[in-house]
Amino acid sequence: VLSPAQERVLLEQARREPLAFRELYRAYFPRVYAYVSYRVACVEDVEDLTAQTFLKAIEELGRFSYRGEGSFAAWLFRIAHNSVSDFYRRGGKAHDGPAPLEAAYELPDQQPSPDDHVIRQQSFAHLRRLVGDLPLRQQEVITLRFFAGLRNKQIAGILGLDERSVAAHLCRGLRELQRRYAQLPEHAFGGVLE
Amino acid sequence: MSGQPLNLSEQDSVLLDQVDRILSGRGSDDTSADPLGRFCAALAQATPSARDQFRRDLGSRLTAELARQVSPAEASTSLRSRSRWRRALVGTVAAALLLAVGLAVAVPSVRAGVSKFTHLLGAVLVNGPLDMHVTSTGYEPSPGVSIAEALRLAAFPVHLPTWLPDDMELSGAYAVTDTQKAPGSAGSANDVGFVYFVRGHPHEPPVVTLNLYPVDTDGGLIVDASKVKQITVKGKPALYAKGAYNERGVWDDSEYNYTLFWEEDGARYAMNAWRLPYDDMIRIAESMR
Repeated sequence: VLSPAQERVLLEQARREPLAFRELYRAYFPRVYAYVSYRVACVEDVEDLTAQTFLKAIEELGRFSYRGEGSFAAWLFRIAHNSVSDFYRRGGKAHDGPAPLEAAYELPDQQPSPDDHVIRQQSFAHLRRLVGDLPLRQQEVITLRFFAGLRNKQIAGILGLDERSVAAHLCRGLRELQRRYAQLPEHAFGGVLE
Repeated sequence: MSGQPLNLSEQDSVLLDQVDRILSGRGSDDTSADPLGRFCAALAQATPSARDQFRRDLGSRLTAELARQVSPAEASTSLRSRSRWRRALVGTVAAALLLAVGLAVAVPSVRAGVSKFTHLLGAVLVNGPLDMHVTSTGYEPSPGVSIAEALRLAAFPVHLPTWLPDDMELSGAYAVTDTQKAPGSAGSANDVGFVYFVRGHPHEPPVVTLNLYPVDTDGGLIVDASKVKQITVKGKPALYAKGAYNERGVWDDSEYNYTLFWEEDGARYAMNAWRLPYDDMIRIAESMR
């Protein structure tokens, strides 16, 4: 995780020496990947859109202007958000086909056991489907807040909403998500979210 | 902005505060009794992990793309200033760069001393033991240049790896321009090279040195033919040689030192790798775009 000061230094450095961008990539990759994973079902599409986001960011970095803490994250996730929107405009599918999404996720280092990993994979797959079934605005707000880590004000800028509407979508979406989650059979999450 | 602002209730404000605390890592205790708070805390933890291979491949692809970006500011200052890696390049890894320097001088000087040799893919294969050492006289490390400048100075399209082992990164470049060329070679196409270090160890010898020179370069690296195996890279002929030249101009065929030769888009590639498995070396070459 980069401090705001480190991030600013890297951004300035990246203008002079493009390879400095690699540190920003390492810092932001998990967030971009998680955000896209909640917006798109098929892991191949997730990887394509994650790659597109960073490649576009490299291409456009010269036009980015720093406007204080969090402005780079907001800019980067605007690119990610637009990539996802374009994907759906081009006819991309929200739900995966026969191949289960969770099959493509590898065991992260910190997981204590393969069993636990399987449970967490299933939990993610169920949660992703629940999020994907919410109204679009709620999906967008929840994923940008929880997985991109943006503030409501930044989300408002990306979605063209006022901050209060973002907050309202967030609250309604979370309540609806929890309500749907509560209706699932107990075993659906393997107890991970209990 | 679009639409009317939606109303927020007092409960919404409480929930928003909870979410703020959870996402800033301060909210685990006071949400334990509240089902919605617990759910939000669990949701925040439910993040997927990318495949390691995808993360690495994308990192390499971005590095290759970044290396292609020619920054005018960078290009104009690169001849005046030396960055950290450039000092390292000239100082500690001169040996690794030796093989890329002064080729035009090296080969004519030994031609007279060998009876059988074959030019192949940027190597001069000598049948029988080499009875000469390539003297280091006249060999000076090429000056480091920015990666962007190396790409600009190359007289041919440069392909760079889009895949690298996880701990390796493109760290620097150099170019053999007119001032470093053999007498009489001024104006000929420049050789360029790229150096890859283990991440976080820029002062250690590089793991991989990638040397590029035009296919019409007279000469090539002189290699004992018995050390060479013919293979393919991207479906094209390639040579895999055990060894590389050391800092004294002697072919070092220790078990950790290998050089891969092939040609692509008007350039000869000589990739020297130290302590890198064969499969990784081939994979790097196959990933060049």
